[in-house]
Amino acid sequence: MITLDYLLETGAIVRIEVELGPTELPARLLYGTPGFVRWLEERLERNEPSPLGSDTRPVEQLDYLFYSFISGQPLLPGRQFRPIKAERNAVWELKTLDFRIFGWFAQKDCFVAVFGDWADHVKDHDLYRGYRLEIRRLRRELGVGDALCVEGVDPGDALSF
Amino acid sequence: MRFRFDIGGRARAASRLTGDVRSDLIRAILQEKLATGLTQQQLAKKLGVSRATLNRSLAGKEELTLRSLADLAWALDKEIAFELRDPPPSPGQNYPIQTSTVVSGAKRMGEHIDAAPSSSGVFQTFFAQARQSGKE
Repeated sequence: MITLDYLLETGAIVRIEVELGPTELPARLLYGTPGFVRWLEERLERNEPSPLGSDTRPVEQLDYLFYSFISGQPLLPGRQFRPIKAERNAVWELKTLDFRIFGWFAQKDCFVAVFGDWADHVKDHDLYRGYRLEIRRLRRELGVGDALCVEGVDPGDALSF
Repeated sequence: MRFRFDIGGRARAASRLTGDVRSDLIRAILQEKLATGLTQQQLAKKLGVSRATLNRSLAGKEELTLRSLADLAWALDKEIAFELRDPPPSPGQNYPIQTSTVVSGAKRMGEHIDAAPSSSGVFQTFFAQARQSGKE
């Protein structure tokens, strides 16, 4: 049976961390595929302005999303995360104003990010189905079974509040 | 393997403050809706703005000014708590140790014990001997 430790050891996923406050400890786990980490590195390097005119830069939005997630703050269902489709072992997205991050919850409070993209690009080209199918294919390829994927699509199935 | 997503201290300060303020506002609006049934439309009307403008502010598409923050708090019948404070002296640790218990510091500790009103005779004798052996 495939485990998170095995995926980490083989380099299939990487643990993602952000700086927490001096009195905070990680309450949730965030992982990413090497491809997703490369996407993050590119965003950090380019530090683009917000195409939607936000007062925070896209990388700042990502920092706050990751910080909220990892530090265990309550995330707003629909506004900050949601399942792409109501199905067993669903693919989920984490959201900021400018970005969409696609992946799955390996366990409650444990997200594996696979793809990141600009929100307007995803919506303009209706990429939800494509990303969903790609992630399902990747999970099959990695041998990720039911034990490493939350079943339900209620917000409480994915996150503790 | 680990990857640290680091945007730098200045950008992080901005992202955490704006993010926290917007999240608190959205939660307060949701709580008010649950408690009293106040809709975003009614809230926008109370503020004298369109619902779209209110949404843009909350989503971060428009800058949230101090004035609009104060207006939103007023409309929700909330008070804003604002505080500027020094960060803890040693991030990730408790306060630095103020006293030492190592025997090599016996002289300094002996002085400390001598000065303490509740020090016992046994300890005074021990530290007096330690001071004496230090002089020799």
